[in-house]
Order: sequence, then C-alpha cells, then structure tokens
Amino acid sequence: MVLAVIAPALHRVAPEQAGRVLALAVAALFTLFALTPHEAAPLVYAWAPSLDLHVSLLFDGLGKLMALIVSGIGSLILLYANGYLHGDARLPRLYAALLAFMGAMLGVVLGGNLLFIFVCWELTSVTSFILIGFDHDRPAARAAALQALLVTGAGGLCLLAGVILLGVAGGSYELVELAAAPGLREHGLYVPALLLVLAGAFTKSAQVPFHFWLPGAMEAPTPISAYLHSATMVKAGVVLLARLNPALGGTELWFGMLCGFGGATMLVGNLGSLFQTDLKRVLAYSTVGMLGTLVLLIGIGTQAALAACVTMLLAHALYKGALFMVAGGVDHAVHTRDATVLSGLGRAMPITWAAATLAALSCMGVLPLLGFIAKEKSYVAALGAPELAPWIVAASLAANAAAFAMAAIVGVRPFLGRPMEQSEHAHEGSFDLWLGPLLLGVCSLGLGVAAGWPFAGLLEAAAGSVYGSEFEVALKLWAGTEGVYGQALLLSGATVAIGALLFALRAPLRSLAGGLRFAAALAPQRVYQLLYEGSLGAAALLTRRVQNGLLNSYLRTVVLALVGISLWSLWRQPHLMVSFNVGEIRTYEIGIVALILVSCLVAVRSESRMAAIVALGVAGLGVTLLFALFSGPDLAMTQIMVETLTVLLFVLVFYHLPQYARLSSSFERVRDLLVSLIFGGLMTLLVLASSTDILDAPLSEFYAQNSLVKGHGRNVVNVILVDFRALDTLGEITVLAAAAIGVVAMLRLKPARKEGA
Amino acid sequence: MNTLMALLIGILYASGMYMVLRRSMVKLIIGLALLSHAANLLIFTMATLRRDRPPLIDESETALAAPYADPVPQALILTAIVIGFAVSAFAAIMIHRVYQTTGTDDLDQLHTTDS
Amino acid sequence: MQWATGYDIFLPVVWLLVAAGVILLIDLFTEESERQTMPVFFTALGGVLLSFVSLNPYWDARPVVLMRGAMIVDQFAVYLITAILTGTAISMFASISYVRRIGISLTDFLCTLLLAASGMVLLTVSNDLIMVFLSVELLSFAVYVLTGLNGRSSKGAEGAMKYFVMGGLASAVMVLGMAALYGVTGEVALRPLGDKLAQLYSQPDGSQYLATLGMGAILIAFAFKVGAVPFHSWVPDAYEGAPTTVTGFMAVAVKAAAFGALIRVAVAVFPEHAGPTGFAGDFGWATYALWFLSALSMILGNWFAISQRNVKRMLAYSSIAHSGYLLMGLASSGGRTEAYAAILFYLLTYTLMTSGAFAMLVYASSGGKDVEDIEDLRGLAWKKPAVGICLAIFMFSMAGIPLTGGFMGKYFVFSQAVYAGGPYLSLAIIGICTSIIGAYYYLRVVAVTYFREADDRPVHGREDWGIKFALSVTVFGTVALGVFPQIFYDGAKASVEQLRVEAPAVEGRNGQTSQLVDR
Repeated sequence: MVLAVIAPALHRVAPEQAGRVLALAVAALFTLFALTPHEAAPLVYAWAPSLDLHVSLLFDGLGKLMALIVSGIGSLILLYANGYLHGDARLPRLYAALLAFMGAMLGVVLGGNLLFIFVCWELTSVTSFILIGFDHDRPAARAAALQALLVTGAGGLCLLAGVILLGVAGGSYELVELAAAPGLREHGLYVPALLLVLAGAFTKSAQVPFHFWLPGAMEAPTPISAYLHSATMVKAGVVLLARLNPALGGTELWFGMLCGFGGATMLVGNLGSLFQTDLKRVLAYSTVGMLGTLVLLIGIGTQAALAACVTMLLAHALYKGALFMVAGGVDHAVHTRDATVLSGLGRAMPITWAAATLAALSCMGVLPLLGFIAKEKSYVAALGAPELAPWIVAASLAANAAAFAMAAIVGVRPFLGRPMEQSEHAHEGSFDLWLGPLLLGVCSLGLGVAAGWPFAGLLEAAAGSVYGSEFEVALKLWAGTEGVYGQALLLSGATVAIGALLFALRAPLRSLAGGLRFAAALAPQRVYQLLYEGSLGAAALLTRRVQNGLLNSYLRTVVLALVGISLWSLWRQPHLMVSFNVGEIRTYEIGIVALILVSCLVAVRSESRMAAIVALGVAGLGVTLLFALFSGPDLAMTQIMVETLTVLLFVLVFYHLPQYARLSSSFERVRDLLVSLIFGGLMTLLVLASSTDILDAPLSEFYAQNSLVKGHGRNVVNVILVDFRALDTLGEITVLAAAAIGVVAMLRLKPARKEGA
Repeated sequence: MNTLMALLIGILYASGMYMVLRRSMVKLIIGLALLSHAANLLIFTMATLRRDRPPLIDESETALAAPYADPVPQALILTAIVIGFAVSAFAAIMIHRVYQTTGTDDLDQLHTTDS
Repeated sequence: MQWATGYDIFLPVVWLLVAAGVILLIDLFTEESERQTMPVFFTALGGVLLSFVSLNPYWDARPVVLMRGAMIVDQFAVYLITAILTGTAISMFASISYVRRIGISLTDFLCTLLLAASGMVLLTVSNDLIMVFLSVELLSFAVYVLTGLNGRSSKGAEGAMKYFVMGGLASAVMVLGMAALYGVTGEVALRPLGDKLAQLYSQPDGSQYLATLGMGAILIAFAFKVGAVPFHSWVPDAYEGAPTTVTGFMAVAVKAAAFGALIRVAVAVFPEHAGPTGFAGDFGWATYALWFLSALSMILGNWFAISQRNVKRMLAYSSIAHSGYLLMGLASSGGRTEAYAAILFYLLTYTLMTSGAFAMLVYASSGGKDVEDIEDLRGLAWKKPAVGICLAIFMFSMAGIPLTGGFMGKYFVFSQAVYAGGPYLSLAIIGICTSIIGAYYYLRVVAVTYFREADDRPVHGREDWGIKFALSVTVFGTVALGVFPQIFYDGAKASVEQLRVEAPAVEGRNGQTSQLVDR
C-alpha cells in the first residue's frame, strides 16, 4: 500500500491535470482507509526476518485515524499545490517529493515495528529536507532546510539508538510485543532508551528547546508548510510517543519529561505566536504550541487526557491545515503575509473568508465546532491530572487564550475592516485553492455539530490504542455543567475573555516583545548557530593542528604509540626477568659489533651524504658477518648482495639530491634523540627479556625432520622457501616485480610542473 | 653474546628512529634501512643465537640434528631482506621523483596538501 | 577429486598475475597507442573474472589449511575476495579513459592494480605471520606505486612519499611485533600462536611483556593500514594525491583486505577473542586499544571531514570515520559471529558506496579539469539528473539513511555494540553522535549538487561506457544491500562461522611432496 503511493511519483507526465488526478488517487486511498475496519492485531510481512526487521502494519484506531488524516489532507494539498504553483516548471518535482513523503509518513503512522517506523521516519526527514529547500535559489531556504535536517536527523539517530536499546531491553522491535513485555520499565536500559527515544520524538515534533527549526521551515512553499509542518510530519513525534505509551508510559520519568517539555512548548509556542507578524510564522508558532499540548496530554496519560489528545489531533489537523491554506491563498492573492497590513479582504475573497472563519472558530474553541470539544476535553484532562493539576490548568488556560488571539489574528482580522490597498485587485483563487480550506472548515463544523460522528468510534479506538486497552470516550458537544465539566466550561469562558483581551492588545504586545522575542523565542536558535559555527571553526582549527602535513609529526605519533605500548606492557608486568647472558664472547665478535656501532654513529652524525651511505653499507656488512657467524649462511649471502646493490643505487640516486642542510633546531634534535633512545632502550630490554630459550617450536621441528625426506633438500631454509612455502617466494618475486614496475612507471612519468612547494 | 646483541639492536633501532625523524628525505631513507637491519637482527636474536649450527642437513643424516639454528625465522628474515631491498630501491626512486617535482629535500616543505 | 580442494586456491592469485604478465607483454611488443586500450583492458578484466570464476569450488566448501598452516581457505576468505575483486573491477571500469586523461600509461596502471589485487587475495588467505607480512607488503607496494602515478601534480608524488615512508615504518613495526611473538611462542601460524598466547596469559611466566608488545605492534601496523586514528595521517594526503580511481581502489580494496586480515588475526591471536568462551565481561587490553582506535577514528575522522572543501580529502576523512565504525564492530565483537558478520556486511556496503562515490568524481571531472573542490559539483544534478541521483544515493548511504546499504551496515554494527553493552554502549553513542556530524557533510554535497545553480562547465563522458557501468553496478548494489539485506547478511554470517572451525590440513600434492601426505 505504501509502495503504491510512492509509485505515482514517477508518473509525473501529464502537466495540466496531474495535480487533480493525483489528488483523486490519494482521495481513493483515503476512501480505502476509511472503509477498512481497524483492528488491533498487526499485519506482518517478513522483510529480513533474521534481523528482526519486519514490515508490520498496525491498522488500529490510532493508525487508521492518522492514515485518514495523512491521506485526506494529502489529497487536498495536492489539489492546492496545483493551484498554488500553477505553471511552475518544478511542480512535478513537488508532486514526486510530496507523494514520497506521504508514503513514508503512512509508514510511520501505520508501522508496527520500531525499526520499520524508524526507516520511514528518516525518509520523512529527507523528503522534508528536499521540500523545505524547494526554493533552492534562496539562501534562507537552503539554510532552513539544512537546519531542519540537522535537528531532525540528529534526533533520528538518537531515536535509532533508543530503538536498538528498547529492542535489547524488550527482546523485540514489535510494538505489540513490547507493550506486553514484562519488566520493561524496570529494565536497566529503560532510562537511556526512553531519553533517546524522547530526544528523537521531541526534535521531530519541535518541542522546546528544539522548536526553532519549525518556524524556519516556513521557507517552504505554503502547500508544504501546511502539509508537513502542521498537519502531518511534525505529528510523527507525537504519534510515536502515543504508540510507545502502552510500552513505556506510566512512570514518573515519562510523566515528568512529557509534561515538562510539553507544557513548556505549549506556552512558548502559543505565546510566541502572538509576537509574530508573518502569517505563516504565526501559524508555525501556534503549531509548536499545539504539539506541546499533545505531548503534555500524552504525558498526563489518564483516559481523559488520551481522549482529549486524539480529539485534539484530529481537530488541529483540520483547522491548522485550513488556516495554512488560507494564509497561502491570501499570500497568493495580495502577495503579502504581514498580519499588520492585511485587512478587509473578506469582500474580495468570500469563500476563503468563510473557510478561514470556520477554521479560526474551531481553533478558538467556539461552541459548535470540533475545536470546542477538543478544548473542553483537554481542560477536563488537565483538571484530572494526577499531579501538578493546578499548574497544568493554568498553563493550558494561558496557551488556549493565546491560541484564541492567534486564530483571530490569522483567520478573522485580515478579512474584516477597511479594505487595504492591494485588496483592490485581490480576487478569489482558483477552485483548487479554496476547495481544500473550505472542505476542512466544513469538516470542523460538521464534526463538531455531529459530536464526532462518524468518527466517534474511530476516536474511541484511537484513544484506546494509545491507552493500551479500549475505554469509552464520550464525545458530546454539550457535556453539561456538572463537576469537572462545569469547571471546564468556566475555563472556556475565561479563555475567550483573556483571548479577546490579548487580541485587542496585540499591537502593544508586539512592540513590547520586540526585545523579548529574541531573548525568549530565539535563544535555542542562537545556541544552534553557535554550536554550528563553533564546531565548524573548531574542526578547521583542529584539522590544521593535527593534520599539519608534516611527515615528521606523523611518524613521531607512530613511534610514540609504540613506545607507549611498550611502556604500558612493561608496567603491567613488574616482574620482568632480564637475564644478562654474557656467555662467551669472542673478540672478533666484539669487533664486528663495534664496527656496526661506529658506522651507525657515522651514518647518523655525518654531514656528508656519501659518508652516511658508505657507513650504512658498512653496517650492512657487519650484519652480514653476524648472520654468517651465527649459522645463517643463506642470510649472509642474500644480505651482502642486497647491501651492495642498495649502496650502489643510493649513491647513484642521491648524487642528484641537494647536500645536507641543518634543518632542525637543537630542541627538535634533543627531543627526537630522547624518543629514539627510549625506543632503543626498550628494544634492548625486549631482547634481554626474551633470551630464555623457546622450549619447543613444533614448526621448526617439522621442517628439521622433513626437509630432506619430503623436500629433498639439505638446506632447510632453502627447502622451506622453495618447497614447503613456495608461495612465499612467489609473493616475494611479485613484490619485487611491483617495485620494478613502480620504478619504471615513475621514471616514465613526465616531470610534473612545479607547483611551488 | 645475547646481551651484546641486545645492546646492538637497541642502538640500531635508536639511530634508525632518530634518522627517520629528521627532516631530510635522504636521512629518512637511511633511517629506514637502519631500522630494517635492526628488525632482521631482532628476529635473528629472538630465535636463539647458535654458533656453527647452520640449518643444513649433513650428508650422513636424514634430518637436522639438534641443536640447530632455527630455520623458520631465517626464512622470515630472508623475506624481510628481499622486501627491504625493494623498499630501498623504490624509496630512492621515489625521493628522486619528489625532489624533481617539488624541488626540495626538506620534508617540512611538503605540506602543500592541507589547508 | 581430493586434489581439487587446496592448491587450486592459488588460481585466483595466479590468474591475476598471469593477466599482469600478459599486459606487460602486450606493452612490450606494441606501440603505446589508443589501439592498445581495449586489449589491455580486457586482459585485465579477464584476469579478474577468471580469478573470480576459479573461486567457484570454494563457495560452499569446508575450510582447508595449506602449507602447514600458512594459508587457509574458507568462506570468510571467499567473501572477502569477492568484495576485493568487485572493487578492483569497478576501479578498472572507472579508469579506462580517466587514466589516459591524466597522462599515465594504462598498462602500468592496470598491471600494478592487478598486482595489488593479488596481494590482497593472498592476504585474505594468509594464516601465518610470514604470509601476512608478505602479502601486506605486496599489496602496499603496488598501492604506493599507484598513488605516485599521478603525473599531473606534485601532490601525487608528495602523497605517495608520505604514504610510503609511513608504510615503511609500519612494516618495520609489524616485523618487530612478529619477532616478539615468535620469540615468545616459537610459532608463526596464527591459531597455534593464539593457543600458546592464551596459555601464556592464563599462566604468566614472565614473558607476557613481549607478547603484549608484539600484539600491540601488529595492531599498530594494521591500524595504519586501515587508516585508524592516530595512525591515519597518511590517508588524506595519499587519497588526495592519488589519481581518483586509485583513491577509490585504496579506500575500498585495501581496507577490505586489511580488515579481513585484522579480523583473522584478532580472532586467532588476541587472547580476549581466542578463548573458548569469548571474553564475556573481560575488557582486555587489546579491546581497550581497539576501543580507543575506534572512538578516535570516529570522532576525528568525522570532525576533520567537516571543514574540508576538497571532496577527495573529505572522502578520505570519511573513510577514516568508516574505519572507526568497523573497528567498533571488532572491539565489541567479543568473539560473537554476529559481530563479525556485521563487520563484513559493512565492508561490503562500504566497498560499493565508496567506489561508487569515487567513480562519481571521475565522471564529474570528465569535462576536463579534475573535480576537487566541492563547489565544482554545483548544480551537477541538473546537468546530469541520473548522475545526481547516483551521487545522492551514495551520500545517503554513507550518511546511513534508510533504504541504503549504509543504513543497514550502521544498524548492524551499532546494534552489536549496544548488545555487547558496558563500555561498548558508550562507543555506540559516540558512533551515533559522530554519525550526525557525518550526515552534515555528506548531505552538504547533495545540497550543493541540487540546490546550487550550475556553472557552465560541460560534463560529458558520453563515450565513457566504463564509468557508466561502474556507476550502475555500485548504485544497484548499494540499494540492494539496503532493501534486501537478508541475503548478504546471511552470506556474511555463514562465512564468519567458519572462522573458528578447526580446519583440516591438506598437504599439497604438487610435484615432489605429492606422495608424502602425512595426515
């Protein structure tokens, strides 16, 4: 089903009608979803079974509700995009990305396997990145796209870690099995897993302090903002939390984290929206606030709260989608979205006006609309919170009042009052532009009046799937005035009053908030900027320091590491047996050793290259003699030939190179000398420590026994090399061949131009 | 003798390391050559030094009579010597080419590749 | 046919060498010209294909040990050889016309490439210290040569020089380590060596100092080869200086071979890994070392990559970071086959996406000037939409975004680390934090190709079918690994399961020793 949605992305051929056709296709999908009865058991398709990766679809109440929202609003958005970007050459790309996003989003909301959800989750981030950066010629859009991706991507990776931890703790990635897993909440990994998952969900759903990317994402064309950044994608975090509630919810930590962050976000978002003037940014902040409310409600976790949560989810998707489309329509008509300028458009755009009014009323929570029911339910939930109830109620009141004012600013104010200048040539957009908001507005009204019918059952099932078991959700337009319902009604009244006051005071508020705004709302943005630029700068700096291009410092690292390992292993073994096996030493042996030592010193100290090379040769000769003396005739023979060739070669080549120059400072010399001496000393120690006889060397024993018998050779070393280990020799020859080819190829290369060292 | 060898190996390693850490390419190559001597002697010494017991089977015998110098490390050293030669030869050509293209022997001048 | 199992494992190596020889002969007897290109190329390709085909008897075979334990042929080796040969073939396809453009001889290039490949194949089947040393040298030499083959700029010579010198030092360190280990145990074959070491560590007799030093030295040498921090410093210079296709080859095949050998050595030799029960709960020193190597590589590799404007250099740092992820798998493995399988899977993905990305760069530079600076990729996606999509897929895969192999690889490796728990959990968290940084610079490349206006530099490569082929194969592979990971993972798992199986020795029937099989 998901793939079937992505497939039409390729179908971007028919230019004119494509949007409408696609919208119809998605609407058909919507119908399909609507007609499919929800069920609690997941449908599982094996993807990579041995890796616990299954495509399992959970078409339960919540899944169905979200699928309906995604596909329903999706089809309207496609239609809307057709009108909004009419004739734009990039339209097909937009459809493709939108449909890809839709597929991924359906995967998130329907997924029953955490890994599968994660996969789709990341895909929504990527498609969102593409969609935000849609106007890629504007740097602001590019920056916003990157910011959104970084924030949500970072969260996504945290989520992955959390998911893996959950999988380890709960023994499964299947949501259903996780919910049934015993002792998950007491598991040692519960806390880290929960924190990581929350980090993922909070970044995606723009919770404080990660909320700043969402207003930035408003750089996207309006259809995208309306769809991704209000109705669907940002809900992914909420949906995930709802999904995990049966498995992880109900602990102190869960309650505290969700209520704390959710509540803060609710306040920051809703109040922040009042300080904005750009319609889309106003809406974005209000969306942030609403997401906070949803998280808060999940955090409270009572039946009432979850019922309120799913109702709110639906109501919000309906009215916020509509308001975004209205804002886009207004922008399209008069080319401004400044709330302080817009007025009097009602006459020119009556249908948009109607849609806006309906959506705004629902958002305000006015009586016959769905928003009212949602708001009442959230007050009831707040009142019934197990802890901190008064605080939550107060916060909700402030937030809802601000939402009221916000809705008035966006949905009512632009259409009333004196006609503005531009409204002269304002006109109603095409059918595509107003159908969406109108339909959504009417839905808000209809669902309110009919008390949720035909969705009441679905909402009940959705709340049930969040809670973990079914319970009754009474959706009533008028719940009466008794008990909590009465208090909720009172609170609603207060909301309207305060909201109206806030609306009236909006101009002074904005000026007052001028300075405050940056401090309060943009602080995380600042932190992000600082982090971003700081890490870039630090990276550049550190790279220059460490990767300084100086071979010597690289080599020193290796040497020091070696010294370090030796010292460490020495330290680990205090009882080192050092045997001074002086034994018998013959005079000529001392002579040879002295010869090597002297030539070694000459090679090091010499100011002349030729002397150094000769000294190297002499040292080689000494080594040869040692081989010969201590029973290695073959070694001696090879060594002396190789040594001769090497010296000849060095003399020939170095003749063309410049004379030595004193390059290092004496500090560097002393330092290097010290390092080398330590290293040399350790090597001496190593040899001394090892001079116990090897007790048995079965391999040597084998060769000693079988060299003649099997290899028909009396020189055991030779037999080893050419018979028992013939491939070694082949390899050696090949190394030489490689070196030879290298030499030839190097010489063949034309001298490159000098680029200035 | 072992003690003497240990000392010798230590000094070879030290001087090789010191040369490798110099800035001149020529010194660096000489240093690598010294290191390879040191390594070969190290293996040689590790496998117990024995005088006049080459791993050659006498005409009269069918197998090596113990004690004998261990043939396996000798095989390893042979490999190392040959490869050491390849290294030296290639190194010579390489620094020749580097000198040709960059005109310097000083390694610290060779840091054009990073910002 | 008993004789068929065993020594015909030389065939993959032999075929590669034969192809190299034939190329040299062609070069010797013909004029250097355009007409040479195809015969030479197809000889080389034929060598690789024959080498691949000659692996056939080993696909489902039981492991065998040859040459008194010097070599082992098992599924693990076969899996790695497949990855190496794939990488080699891709580099060859990508180089057909590139090599001539940068002014080096195709025969030299392919010949050295084949030698390097043969060294890698040898390395994967090496089962004792001498073989390991030899084949490491063989492959390194060929790669030094390849790195220096950049006739265009002094950077080639410079990078090759640095690589070579550091490589020389690393070899010296490796010999040192081997000497120490031999000095302690008197063994060169890996498995008996490991057994002796385990015995030594359980009953200390005063020579663990040597053993620890020896293993440490070998670990350093390997860390150098795979480019792990702090032994990574040659990587950026060599990667940038080398011709682009060579860089791809280095990044991919060298790493695959070196990791293969490292795993083999680690499993057999490091006591923490070698013990019968693994090292459950024991955080031994080798694991400490691996932990630090991995953490440093992930942090610094990713971090350094951010500030790079040169794409090749950025990919160099990114390859360091990928080494870090792979080392994470090794550090946290604790001897579990799943962990090794995860590493192998990651290697395979890495092979495909990295060689693809470098092939991409070669393709993008076909307009004349080499693409180096990230700005050179501006608007590439609009000039060549198909190429843009390829690039995006490679970058997504490297960043670990789902539906690509890179995601699956990261998922496997991370979940192994999380599963191991304890200190590895922190390693996994470091890995995740650094992946976030990684995502930034990979996606920046995608953003530049899509979101920036194109300049008017032409990109053709119309006649360059080789590179198109290379691109298609790698893109297809990267996606296939992401969408159908099961087959590849199972393959990897089956192959590592043989790592611990006691392999029967097959003594050769070649020539004079034929009638004298003693076991």
